[in-house]
Amino acid sequence: MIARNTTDLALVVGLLAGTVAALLAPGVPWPVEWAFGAAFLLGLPGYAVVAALFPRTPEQTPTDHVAPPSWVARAALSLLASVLVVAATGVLLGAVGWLTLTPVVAVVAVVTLAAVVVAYGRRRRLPADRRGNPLGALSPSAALVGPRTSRTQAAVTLLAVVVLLASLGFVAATPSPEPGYSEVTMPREDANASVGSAPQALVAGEDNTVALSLENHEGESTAYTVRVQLQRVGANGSVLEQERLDSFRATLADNETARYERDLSPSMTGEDLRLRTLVYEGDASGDPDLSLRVWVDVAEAGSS
Amino acid sequence: MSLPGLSRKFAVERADLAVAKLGVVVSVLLLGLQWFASQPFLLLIPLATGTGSALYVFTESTEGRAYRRPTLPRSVAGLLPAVVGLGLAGVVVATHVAGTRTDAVYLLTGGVGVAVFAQILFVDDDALGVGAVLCQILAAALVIRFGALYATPGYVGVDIWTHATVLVDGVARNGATAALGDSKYVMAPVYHVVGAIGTLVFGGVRDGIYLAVGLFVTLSALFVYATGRLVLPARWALLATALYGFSDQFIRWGMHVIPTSLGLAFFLAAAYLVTRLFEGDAERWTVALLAATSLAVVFTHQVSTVVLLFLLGAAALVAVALRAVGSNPNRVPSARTAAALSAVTVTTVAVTVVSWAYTPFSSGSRFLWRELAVLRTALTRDAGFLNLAGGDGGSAAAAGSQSAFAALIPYVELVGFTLLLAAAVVGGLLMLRWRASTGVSLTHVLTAGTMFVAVFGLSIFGVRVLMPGRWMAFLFVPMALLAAAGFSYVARTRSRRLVVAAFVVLALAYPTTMVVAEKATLDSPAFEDEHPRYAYTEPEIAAVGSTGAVLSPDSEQVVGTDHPYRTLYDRLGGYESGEPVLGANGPTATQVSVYRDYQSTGPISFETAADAPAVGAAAVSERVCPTDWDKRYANDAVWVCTQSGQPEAAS
Repeated sequence: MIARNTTDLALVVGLLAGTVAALLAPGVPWPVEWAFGAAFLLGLPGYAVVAALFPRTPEQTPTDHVAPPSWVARAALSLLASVLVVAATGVLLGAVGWLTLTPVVAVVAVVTLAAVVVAYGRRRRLPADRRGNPLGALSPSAALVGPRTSRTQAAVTLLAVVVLLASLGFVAATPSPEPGYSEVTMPREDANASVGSAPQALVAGEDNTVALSLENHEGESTAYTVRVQLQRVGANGSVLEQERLDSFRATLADNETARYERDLSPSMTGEDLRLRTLVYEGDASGDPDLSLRVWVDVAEAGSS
Repeated sequence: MSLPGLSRKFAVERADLAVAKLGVVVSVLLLGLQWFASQPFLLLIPLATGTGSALYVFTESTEGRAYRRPTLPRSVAGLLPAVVGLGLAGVVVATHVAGTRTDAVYLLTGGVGVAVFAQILFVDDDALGVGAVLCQILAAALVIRFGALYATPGYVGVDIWTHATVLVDGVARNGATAALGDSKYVMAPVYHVVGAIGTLVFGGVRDGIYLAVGLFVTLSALFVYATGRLVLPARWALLATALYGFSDQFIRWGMHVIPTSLGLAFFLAAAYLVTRLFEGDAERWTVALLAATSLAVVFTHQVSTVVLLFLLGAAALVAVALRAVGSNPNRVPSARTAAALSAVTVTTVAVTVVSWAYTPFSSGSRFLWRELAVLRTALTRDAGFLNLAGGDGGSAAAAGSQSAFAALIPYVELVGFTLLLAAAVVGGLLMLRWRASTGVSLTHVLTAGTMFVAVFGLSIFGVRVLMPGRWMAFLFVPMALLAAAGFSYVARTRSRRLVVAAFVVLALAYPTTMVVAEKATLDSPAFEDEHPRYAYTEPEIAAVGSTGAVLSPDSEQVVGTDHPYRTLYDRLGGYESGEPVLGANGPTATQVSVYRDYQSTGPISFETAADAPAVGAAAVSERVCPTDWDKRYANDAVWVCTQSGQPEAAS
């Protein structure tokens, strides 16, 4: 039978059991895991330790030299003690290479239970009305409104709290509206090689394999049109001559990456030609959504 | 006031008044520094200390008399908790819908702050809901920080990218602190261990750090209330908590959640325990918890340890000194208190020295000897009066506009700090006068004073080796407590107008300016044309990983891009990175260059070569990523360019 004014300790044991199950059992929904996890790391061990340290209510008695810590101070100390317990557990387990979930949960749970036992024993030795059980001492309404608040004002405040909680639920349930994006890469054959040492060389009339990587992070399946052009560029940047080397369409699922190896067979030759890759979302019209360029030399077939 | 009247005011009668009068004179003299250097702090600090001192001197205190503080009508006051709740709901939804914190979010956040301060300052004693206001402060603190954190892809800040993606992740993956390798954190692993346990519990490094460490840091504001409540009535303890909870520096470390943040939370606990130790006659549990907390700081963060030693040293010094020279038994701490504080201080110093002597640092050296060498160099070579250049690192070379409004922004952002300092001066002077709690009073005054000198005094002489930027959030703890005491003093003055003016200015100006200050808005600067964003978009983060197809992190070639984006290439990508020097035709020293849209739209500046024209916003992309370079990677916001094989190619 549970002694009077120890229901908070029973609640700690219950929450601890729920936490162990939530953290170690597979397939637990994340909101449940987060709620129990936060309580486990920042609440339960410290609460139990503080309950063991201070079995009495905060009120000062005539025999006290100083008053025991207030409820607020105990709440703060519970946070501190929780982190200290978790940190000590982690440092010890980390030093011997056992810092994994099960040992952590086991050690913190054992420390918490031991503190609960001590707290229970110390409280039982006190008169029931002197036992430091915050559940019996605190009023939930005191956390919402002041002492002279009218019923209407209290109702409005309660409504505001409900709206706040609903907004948090809305945010948790709906994905972030972060705008999507796409990526296109023309990888270098050897990413370790130093940059700028030599231009990429192609041979006219032959298949020159060029790699291309496309990634879709638009948040939905996206169709792309890809065009590859070879351009001769004048000194002022104007395009003097242009040749389309390739054009293809690809549809990528969200978060899909596709790597292509395209055979390009240019007819234009010369040095300092610009190989452009244009990526359009949807059909190829207007300005491309993404573009790449690589400066190449194109030699005639058979030339050295 | 006539000359004889002024003379009477400045006659030395009591220590507090003497210091206040000296403060007025010194502040006026310090205003002269404006002639030698242009820094907002050089104006605002003397202004704040002078105003605080003058207010103390010229205010006729009516302590103990009946007075009637201005209050709001009950019908209005009773609705303020609902205003806070609805305001926070608005912040949550607006941040989520916009995907970032916008001007509207800052406006709402400031409004929430005003509603909280209004309750503390303008509600009757018998109607003040202490628990309700405390819950509102904590709820606002959580929404402000976690709204920003979860709206931001990746992390907010610079250092956290290393702590999270390398160190915490390493510890969680390996199940051992050996993963900290040769970093200085191998002897200070608490943050990484708690973060790793959070990672195991919540299933990811980001959630692990935010929910295990970030929650603790934010909720540690409770210690400010608990500390304040030991020396102040509930209203003023609430004010101290609100002053701290809405301060830019506390918001900063609740968003950039690194070992400094955890060290700060432990420091708040230590401040409570030290105060309790004085008040509670060194109860065993207080001493044990203070020792444990102090050791936790030593094994968490080195800078936090130095700051903590200021607090412990001040407390021990005050206790021992009062024991030695004090005569009033009500003002002299007990021998147990003095012994306990001395023991904890000596133990912490000893553990710190031993720990640092074994802490590895760069190129095989040890942290202790390296820091001593750096300190010696700073004091003997770098120090110089008004040597104000530099800082504690991490600041961007932002290209602020030169408009009158732009010039005013630093002052706007420091309004909250100025109010805090002015009130803290009043509170500090008041504490010097109080007969009760002398040990605690002197400890907080001495801690605030010495930390203030360490942060601002040494900076004036160019000594920034102690990383003063990191101290500000710690300094704000005693300042918030002293400021709350200061406002309690102002509330007792005869002049109702003064009280109304002071309270209205505080309630309106403090939260609204603090929440838009640079350090409180690292994720999305409120003054976006002045301060760079220390957070990244999804495409900006993705580009770092995708760059590997163009250039391997092992290639040892330097990736050139802006600050702070280059730090992401360092810390997340593992690249060697630098800020490019832009010549007329592109980067001159790097062969791999990364352009992002933000370089054209944000306050980012680049160094240009001597013979090169300045970079205009419109031409940034072509200067960072010239058309005669290869552009091998692109997404919607970032390009990665490499020098092509033919630098003479047509542009």
